[in-house]
Amino acid sequence: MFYQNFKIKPDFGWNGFYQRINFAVFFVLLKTGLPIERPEFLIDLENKAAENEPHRLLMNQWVDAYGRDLLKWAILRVSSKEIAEDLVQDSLLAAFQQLVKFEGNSSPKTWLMAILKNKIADHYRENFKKGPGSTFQQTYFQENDTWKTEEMPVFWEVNEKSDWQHHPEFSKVLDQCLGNLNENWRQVLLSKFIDEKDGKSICQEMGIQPTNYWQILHRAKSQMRKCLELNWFNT
Amino acid sequence: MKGVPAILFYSCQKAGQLIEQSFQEKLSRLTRFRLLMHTFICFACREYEKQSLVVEKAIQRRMKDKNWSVSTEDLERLRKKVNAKI
Repeated sequence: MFYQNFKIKPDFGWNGFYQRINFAVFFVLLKTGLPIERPEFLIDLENKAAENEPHRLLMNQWVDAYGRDLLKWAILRVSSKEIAEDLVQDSLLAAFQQLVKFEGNSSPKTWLMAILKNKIADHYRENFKKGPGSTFQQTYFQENDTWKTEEMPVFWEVNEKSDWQHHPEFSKVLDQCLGNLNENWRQVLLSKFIDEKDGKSICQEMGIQPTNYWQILHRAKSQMRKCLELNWFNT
Repeated sequence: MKGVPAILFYSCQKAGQLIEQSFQEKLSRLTRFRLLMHTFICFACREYEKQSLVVEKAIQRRMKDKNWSVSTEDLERLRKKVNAKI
């Protein structure tokens, strides 16, 4: 037939065959512990693992005991669960490396908490450097810092008595608006409601200046305001 | 703005920041007076103050309703990850 001309026949090489068998024999001998020279890097690795064994057990105990609290604490402060998990993981690894420094003066939970706090502050510091700053000014304000006429807050008809805040669609709209915010702004906005903190402690946690904090709040609020106005109040 | 009006009045952007601040902290008398002067003239910033409170209340309710739970699966995943890297 025609297609037989194009058939590629894999050629068999005896050299490759012997090599594979050599590898297999080497592997089997290594595993069964028969007298054969163990490579040095393997010996080093095994020694390290043996040294780390007690630390490892301790770490596992800590994850069992405090992991849930740490995760919960981080999730409240970060936008998504995945980032929170990464941060907790990083701080646990950092704790593992600094285990020698831990002297038992404080309880391990507070120590782990302190490391996690530092990690979260670092996370936000990185993001704040990246974040764009000048676009807000251009979208909402004119050159002399007064509102643009299209972006001016207009009157909302808000009924205090009616139950619009518990409306399922309203919470959907609210979530969407929160999702549209820049991650840092959202976190600054939400951190106030997590456990009723004042401005100073939030600034410390996030590593920002107080004047910057009010500025960010104002920006986030006006973006939220505009979003709610478009999607809920004046439709 | 230059001259006397610059001393008396804030710009809208500055006023907005101060409004946010006034929800959480007590401002000094001079700042309060200047803010009052601004909101006296500026319709938009008066509206902004009301609406900001509305937004804040709405977020507060939402945060109370939300469920922030950590399941045992999450904990297992965390332990696996940590054990793999040690």
